[in-house]
Amino acid sequence: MRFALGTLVFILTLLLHAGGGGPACAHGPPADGGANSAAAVGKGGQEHDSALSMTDARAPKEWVEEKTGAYLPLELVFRDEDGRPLSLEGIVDKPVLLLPVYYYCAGSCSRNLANLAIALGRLKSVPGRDFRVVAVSINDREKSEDARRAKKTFIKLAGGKIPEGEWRFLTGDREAITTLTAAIGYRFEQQADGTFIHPSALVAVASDGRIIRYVYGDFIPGDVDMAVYDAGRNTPSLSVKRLLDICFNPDPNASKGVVLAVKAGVLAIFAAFTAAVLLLYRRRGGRRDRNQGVKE
Amino acid sequence: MTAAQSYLEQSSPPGRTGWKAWLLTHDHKRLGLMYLWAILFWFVLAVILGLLMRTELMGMGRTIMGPEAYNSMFTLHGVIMIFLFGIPAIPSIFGNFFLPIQLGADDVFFPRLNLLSWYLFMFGGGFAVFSLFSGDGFPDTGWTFYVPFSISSAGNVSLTVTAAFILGMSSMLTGLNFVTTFHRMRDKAMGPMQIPLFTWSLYATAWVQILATPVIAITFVLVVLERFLSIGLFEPDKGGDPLLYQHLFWMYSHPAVYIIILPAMGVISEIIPAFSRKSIFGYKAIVYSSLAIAIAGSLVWAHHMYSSGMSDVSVFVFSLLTFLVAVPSAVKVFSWVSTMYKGSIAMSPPFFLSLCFIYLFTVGGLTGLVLGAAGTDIHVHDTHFVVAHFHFVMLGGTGFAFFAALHYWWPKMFGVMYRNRPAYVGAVAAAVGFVFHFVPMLILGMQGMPRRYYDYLPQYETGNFLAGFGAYLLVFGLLLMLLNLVFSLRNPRTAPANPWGGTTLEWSIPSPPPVENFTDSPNIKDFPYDFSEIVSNSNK
Amino acid sequence: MTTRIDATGTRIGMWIFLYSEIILFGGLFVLYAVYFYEYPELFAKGGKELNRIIGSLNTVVLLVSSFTVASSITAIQRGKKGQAMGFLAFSIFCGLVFVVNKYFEWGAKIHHDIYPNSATLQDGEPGLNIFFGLYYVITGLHGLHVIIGMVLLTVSLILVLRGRITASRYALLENSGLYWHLVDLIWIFVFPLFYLVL
Repeated sequence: MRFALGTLVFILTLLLHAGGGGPACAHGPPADGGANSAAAVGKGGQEHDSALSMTDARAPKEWVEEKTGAYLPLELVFRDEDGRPLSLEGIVDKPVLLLPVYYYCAGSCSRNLANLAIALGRLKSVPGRDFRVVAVSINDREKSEDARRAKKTFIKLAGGKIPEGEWRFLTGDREAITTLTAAIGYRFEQQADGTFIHPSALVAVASDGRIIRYVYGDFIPGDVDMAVYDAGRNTPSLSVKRLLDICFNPDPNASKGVVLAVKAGVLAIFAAFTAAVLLLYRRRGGRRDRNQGVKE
Repeated sequence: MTAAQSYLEQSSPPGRTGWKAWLLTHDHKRLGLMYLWAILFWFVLAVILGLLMRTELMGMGRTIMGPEAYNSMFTLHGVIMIFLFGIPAIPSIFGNFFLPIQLGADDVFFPRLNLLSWYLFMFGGGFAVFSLFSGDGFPDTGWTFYVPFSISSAGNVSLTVTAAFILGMSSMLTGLNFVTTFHRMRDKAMGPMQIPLFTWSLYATAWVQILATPVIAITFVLVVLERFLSIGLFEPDKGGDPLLYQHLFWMYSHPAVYIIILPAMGVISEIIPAFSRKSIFGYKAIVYSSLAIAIAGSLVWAHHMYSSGMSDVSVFVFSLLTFLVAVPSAVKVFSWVSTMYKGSIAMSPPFFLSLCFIYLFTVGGLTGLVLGAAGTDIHVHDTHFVVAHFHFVMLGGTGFAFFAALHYWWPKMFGVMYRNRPAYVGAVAAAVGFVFHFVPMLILGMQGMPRRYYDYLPQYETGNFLAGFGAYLLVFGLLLMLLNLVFSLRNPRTAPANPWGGTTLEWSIPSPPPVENFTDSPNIKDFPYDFSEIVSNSNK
Repeated sequence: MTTRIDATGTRIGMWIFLYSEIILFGGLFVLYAVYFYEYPELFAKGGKELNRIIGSLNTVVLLVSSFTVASSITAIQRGKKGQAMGFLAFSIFCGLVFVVNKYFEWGAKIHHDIYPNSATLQDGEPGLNIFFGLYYVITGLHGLHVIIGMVLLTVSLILVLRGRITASRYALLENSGLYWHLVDLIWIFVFPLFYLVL
């Protein structure tokens, strides 16, 4: 049947067009699957994809290497919301939920903090009595004013369920930040435009600074409750491996070739359509005049 | 009636020639055709985008594109399919063409407003194309444009969202036109319970279009304002709540899917009786169920948000309401099947496509129950199960109904008959391809494969590879049917007034119809699906 | 067929369109309601910054202009072309007064560094930021509709002048009037929400 053949040829042409449109294709897992390849982020190309590729099943764990059972370096000093120096020892005197973020994050941090705030309002555990929350900025350029602002917002979002003293927002210098994040196995990278790629995770820590459990993703109240409970009993436990949420700002320059191909394809299809309609018009001798060139 | 006197030759308002006769037409039939060509363009474009996405997913890792491009693809595919195909397709093409005729009228109530609707549609589409080619490229936010990403994302969100705003206006004005026409231009002899079911479905749809579209309008206005002014209405840092955006967005977008499906159900309600040579079973039930779907469907929007952080009470309430919406849809399916029972079935391409619709839509509806129940939804939310579900109802449902309508009314609109065999082959290919394409997705979704990811874990590779084959078969079938129809336009105009034996008013006028629709006053039957005359004629 | 003049049908169409405009603002009122529930004290604090006198003045101006628009319709129904034009011109003038008042109100706020994304709002309470954000969006959108309404009334005025709107054919004037009434009605909702109840 002529129609069937014609349609088949048409589709094959499209396939070839699509296949040849993008940069060199790669099949199978990318060559470099380690998280360190994230350093190449922002430059496009295959390394960008591999850093975030879920094909490498090790990738999620590479961003956060769980150090369950190890101890936090409690002697580290940060700045509190008023700019005063505060050592971790001073606030880790009961189970602590430690959350690395940065306060001007344009990505999912805002949402994650909000989720956490709301979840905290719904826990069975009681903030203050059972635990305290500590948010630490991974951006050494952020100041205590930024922390103060964030604190105001998120305390409010928790609906008054968290007393002000029980949710601290810290900032610090680069050394303190890197020491702390290394101790909890938390990797992040700064991009050329100043934003960060970092996973969304919090660590439950016992009152002596021992790392008990990791909570990922959207911070469901149930997960957080279990973390607090285990931290209260100082028993390290397994984390629920939820799909790791990675906060990053995508590079618009990647995959330019494919986008170009799509643009060309759109124009080609439009031209084909117009031609077809005009052709039909010609055949019927002026009976249907359909000029599609009005607005496009 | 000689060929020279149909609406294809005569213009309304009279006396115009050349391109002005079409671009400045008041004739609802010509506008229907103009919508047809534009919408077919968008449909083909979006189908090919879908095929590109599916090709990327056929292999692990990067097959033909990277994550940014993939994100833009599914955004573009979604925006086109929803705003430029799904919502306007049946109402703007077949509704415009046939609603006045089915009511015994000579045009819609506001013909010039109808023309404006078309221009708004083209203008909105133009904006969408412009947002693809200009600046930072098409957005990668998904057609749902969730905040905060849509506010901070680099792509042309404002342009695309404005395009959707303009398209919404077009849709709203069409709905306005249909409601007014329905109430004011019906033939005097036609009471409410004598109105054909296609028109009833369009009436219910029109109300949803009128009442729901302004909500998305204001939502998109807010997105644009946020992008330019950074007010913070949806940003937690500044006191806002991103969940509010989702509520506002879905408050339209859920009724939107009923805008998409209700006219499709109306088409099926026309085709089934015609080819069963039997009156529709449960006419009143179908009328009331259409209105019930429109009303109840406007109350269930937050079932898209079970895992977004709503309160448990909200989740419970919306889950309950969602179950209620399934009931009127089921009523329709039962009615269609009962219509066929003990009927005198005549197979034809539109009827075959309608049968596919009934099956595929039912499966889609059943998977919708899995999603409507909050407990099960948590596990399959944002997986390919959801993707398969809505494709079952929107492609298996409205898509197939669209093709059924094309095949049913093509002889009437153009006066030509197409070849049946390519239509059947295409329909079978599309149906089989559809099943092989989307059923694996249901399974993959239940196994946990997330949606909107350009890549996946190794255990999902087989399913995706197989699904890809189904996709190509599906597209082959769809394109075959389209090409068959388009090529039939070269045939001579030999279609009779009533090739299928339908009983509604469009079958009592010539094919293609004259510009004024009815040269003699229409003959309104006591009941629109009275087949006694057809049956007795065929017994002669 | 012949063109029929079905005034009822035209009215139905216009009312449906107005309904859609109400829902457009309805979305904004939903936002207001939710955030008011979230930040009641801060909304009250923000409300105190707004000038009730100018607000009341604007309300009176719009109400009067609605009355004169209705009067112009009655006038044209009675064939009094001059009167109709006079009333219409006055309504347009009232619209202008409203817009000018709004300009001064906004100007004062902007002068005090209260505008979307301003430093004062950014550094201050989030609830206050939301309040003023909503204030600007809602009054801004309303102001836009006032301007659109003025355009419609001006077009109607010109058509009355040219004799295209007459005692037997005034649907356009009536529909412009309806639009103006809608603009007034929305203000009647906005005014208490921002100026009175807080």
